[in-house]
Amino acid sequence: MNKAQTVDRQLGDRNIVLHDLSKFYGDVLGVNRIGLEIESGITGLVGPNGSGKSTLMNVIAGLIAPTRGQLKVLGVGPSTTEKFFSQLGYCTQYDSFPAGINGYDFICNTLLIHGHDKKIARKLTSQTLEQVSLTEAAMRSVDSYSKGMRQRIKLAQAICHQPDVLILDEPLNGLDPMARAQVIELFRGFADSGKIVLISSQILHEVDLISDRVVLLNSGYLVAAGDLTNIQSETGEPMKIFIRSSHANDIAARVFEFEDVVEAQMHNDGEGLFIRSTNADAFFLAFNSQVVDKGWTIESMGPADETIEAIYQHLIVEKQVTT
Amino acid sequence: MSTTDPSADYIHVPQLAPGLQVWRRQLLAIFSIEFAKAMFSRRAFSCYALICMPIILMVVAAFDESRDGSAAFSTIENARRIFGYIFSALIIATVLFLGNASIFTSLFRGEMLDRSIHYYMLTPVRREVLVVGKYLAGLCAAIILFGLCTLISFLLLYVPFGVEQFITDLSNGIVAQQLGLYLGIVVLGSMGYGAVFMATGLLFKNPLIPIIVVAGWEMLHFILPPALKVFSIIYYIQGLLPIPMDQGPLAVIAAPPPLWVSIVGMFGLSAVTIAISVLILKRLEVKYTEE
Repeated sequence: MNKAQTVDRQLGDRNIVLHDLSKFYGDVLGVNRIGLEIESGITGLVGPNGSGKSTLMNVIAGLIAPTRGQLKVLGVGPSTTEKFFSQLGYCTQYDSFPAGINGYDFICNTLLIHGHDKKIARKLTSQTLEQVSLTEAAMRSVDSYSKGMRQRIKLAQAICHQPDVLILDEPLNGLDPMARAQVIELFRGFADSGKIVLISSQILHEVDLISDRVVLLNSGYLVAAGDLTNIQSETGEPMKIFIRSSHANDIAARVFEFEDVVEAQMHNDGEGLFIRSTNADAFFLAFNSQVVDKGWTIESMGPADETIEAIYQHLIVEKQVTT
Repeated sequence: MSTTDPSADYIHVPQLAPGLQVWRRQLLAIFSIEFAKAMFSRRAFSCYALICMPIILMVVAAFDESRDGSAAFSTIENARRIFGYIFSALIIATVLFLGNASIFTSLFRGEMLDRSIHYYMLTPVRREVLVVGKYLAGLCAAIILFGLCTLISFLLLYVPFGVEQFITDLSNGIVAQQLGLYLGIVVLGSMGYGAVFMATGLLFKNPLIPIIVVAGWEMLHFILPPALKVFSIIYYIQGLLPIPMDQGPLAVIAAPPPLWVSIVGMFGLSAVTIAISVLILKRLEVKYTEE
């Protein structure tokens, strides 16, 4: 094994690695030929309904077996049950619980089944319930919980054993704005401590806010993966750039002198300008020298469509409309 | 809601090295959870209803004081024979069979139906430990429920004859011998039926059809040739009955197996069925849409 292979292997041991992974339900496609490496930090999994997000999450979490391909989570496959599941927490989309159980027992039982002794399990249960703000409701039956509380107790079940990999299927569903902010803070804390957090959500702007990277799925296929800047540049679409300046009119008059600029549009307030460039790097370079030459004052400048919503719109919605 | 801020009070999860100690803790945890479910959940109501049936019947027979001398329990021998029939026809064929079907098919299928099996499947527990833990919990619940039913029913046969008769039978060993055999049948029957129904619950989306098939096979075992009788559970347990039952004119008579064969047979059946259940569970995919 050469040095590069050893480094790849070591990285694979710290990441989620999917190699040519497919899942079919009979003749129905779940996901097809997914090759992906998910690193530590927060990764947003985005796609329309039926795109294969939940299938992919269930495969990664070991709940369903891939029809073809390989999966390793921190270097371990699902057949190594004890190691695989001890390092993984999964908050599923299923809103169901063991009949009649209360919040405390739900978490404590999970920890006991993990193999912890009762004393540790009780302490960890109290700590986890506090993390998700359910200490007061702990002894109530989960059946009597609100949607948001059920979501939080599921989250508690996923994090109570402090896994290195956290998989969350629509974790923000049913949460009020305050709880959403708190849960997002919790995810950020996990990611900042070097753990892998994989989140699927339909709420694109929230994924946008919290994700370090995104994975876009459509009809079971991987459409794009990586950080937003890379995905945006790989789409080949002109990048939309917003420039806020008191000289917006002057800039607009000169902007088509740049070869790569294909569109310009004034902002409503007259002090901003949207432009579209086919080569953003070249534009920024040339524009900077113009700013110095002309003495324009620039308040801010940056990509205006480097959001999941914009990429989603371009890569999925527009392609579906075209099809 | 707080983040994972590692403050002074923050407890870190201790590393668990898989091995006997962890497996024992996991087994105990699964056992206590499943035992509580089998004994006290809503699903247990059907078992409580079943165990009431022979007890009620024995109460009616015990307090039957027909004036013409045709009381059900006219003599102690008659009472023992009637209990033998009730045990054979009602406790084995109905309570033990249906009760075990209810307890053991629910162990996995019940959780698939209420969509909570994934909580088990996401834990780092060996599937062998999970199956054995659930099986032992179901078995203990079955033995307690059906054993208690047998014990109460048996004691009720002494009601018309008083404490003196009971003490006499106790001192000359009749109670110990007969009750021991009846309870032994409950234990072996629960082991055999339990293992079969646990695997049935894992294999079939609707276990009702296989339960009916098994019931039919068990009911017809008396007309089966000896070579086929060995594939029915009732063959192994009925031979232990202290008062043999007349199986009717159509019965194909076969010598009952020795006690050790019955015991080894039920242990063997349980072991094989548990091994099959482990294999099924290892290949199980959690797809509730199909349930």
